[in-house]
Amino acid sequence: MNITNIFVLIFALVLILLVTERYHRSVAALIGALLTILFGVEYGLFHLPNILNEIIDLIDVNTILLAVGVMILAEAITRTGFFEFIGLWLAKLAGSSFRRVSIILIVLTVFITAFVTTITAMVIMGALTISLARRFKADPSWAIIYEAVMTNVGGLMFMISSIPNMIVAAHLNLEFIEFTKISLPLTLILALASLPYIYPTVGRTGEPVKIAEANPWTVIEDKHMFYRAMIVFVSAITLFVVRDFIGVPLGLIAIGCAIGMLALGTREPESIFSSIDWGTIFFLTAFYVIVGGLEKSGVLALLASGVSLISTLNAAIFPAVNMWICAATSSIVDNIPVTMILIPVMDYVSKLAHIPLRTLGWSMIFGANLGGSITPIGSPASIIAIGILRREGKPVGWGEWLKRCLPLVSIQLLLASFYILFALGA
Amino acid sequence: MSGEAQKKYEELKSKIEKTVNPYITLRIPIPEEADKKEFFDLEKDQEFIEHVKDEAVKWVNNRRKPGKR
Repeated sequence: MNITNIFVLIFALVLILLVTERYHRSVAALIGALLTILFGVEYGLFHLPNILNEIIDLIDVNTILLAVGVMILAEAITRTGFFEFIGLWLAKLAGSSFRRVSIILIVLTVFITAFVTTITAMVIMGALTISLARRFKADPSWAIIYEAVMTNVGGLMFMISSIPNMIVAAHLNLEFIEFTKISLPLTLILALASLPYIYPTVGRTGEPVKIAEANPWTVIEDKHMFYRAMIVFVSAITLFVVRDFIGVPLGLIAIGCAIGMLALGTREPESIFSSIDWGTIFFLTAFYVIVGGLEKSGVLALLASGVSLISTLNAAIFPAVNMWICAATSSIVDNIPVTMILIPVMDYVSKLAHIPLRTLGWSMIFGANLGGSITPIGSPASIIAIGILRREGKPVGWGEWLKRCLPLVSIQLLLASFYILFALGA
Repeated sequence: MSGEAQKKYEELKSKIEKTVNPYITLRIPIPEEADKKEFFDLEKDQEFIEHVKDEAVKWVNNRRKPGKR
């Protein structure tokens, strides 16, 4: 059997393990990486004396360090109660209408997700929304579902806001400010454009209640730690922004600030370590090895030649088409492997079809993030939202989810398509 | 929802509820003469809960009167 066929089979096995969830996704990826290394040595892709260096060369250490560093920073700042504090403070300002409170929480979700994982954002916003809905004697279902959708919009905002962003930005050598100049306007457009769709349907139930007497400071258990953590967090964001001028790799900045946070911004470093999503880190590392094997064995070139045939049909609109394909795939499969596999494929497509690689990269970022909201299993936030509603006795099935979210996500993807075609000059 | 996420959610919800919907939790041992099922059903009896809320307010107001501890 030739080398390309072997690696197609390895890849197919990994995909089957991921889709069927026979194993945890990180284990599926590690199995794939191990097979890649074993067969790689057998077929001469890797050479035993130098194998460790060859494997390390495949892994984007900067992205891994960035992911770990950002996770530590986000976990520490979350534990201070900062986001619940902001949520309660804004809810007080919203007055006595649950509809206004819901809209504020939905918009807040976008900004929170820019800094923490979609899971953390959804847990925080879910707890806030359910508690406030109880006070208003209102039905929180619509608010919770739209918050889940908006976590994926928030995931677009900055380079650090989601793992697909970090992966693509690293591959395209996009700096923090450069990334933000393109991602932030679209995020704000999508957030604002979603509101007319959301407003008529959210917060229609409930009684007018004043929550003015609720003191948001009660959710901050340790004010000194809160202030220290905020200082470290703001310093980290500032360093990300000025990275261009100081020339330090983003991953090092993230880890350095994470060390600062562990020293100054928390009393429970052990607990923070155990809260880090090590599964995702192992998954990412292993998938770099798998993708490296696919590239060396010629599988990706094969995939790319197939894709570039489609792209030649209309090179002008292919980036937008690519975004929809990424979105559809991400609605069913985890967006991290989708992104990691498509990046090297897009390298080939860019050369063959003469489409700017950055435009293709952006289409992947938009599709991989937004597509997660299409189905109730498309993103971790959606799964959390469904779980919360089930616990609160308001289960939502596939039909209900698709009825509420598919039109909204379609509007978002349509706007993103126009953005790619006109603002990015595809 | 994973176990970890569930635990975090419940903890957060409890913390926020105490700010937005302040409450106290009482432990009331079952009186000897009470029927077990009827007693346990009181936890879900909204009329009983409203009655207890009213009684709590009366008790607190009574306590405030001069001459009372």
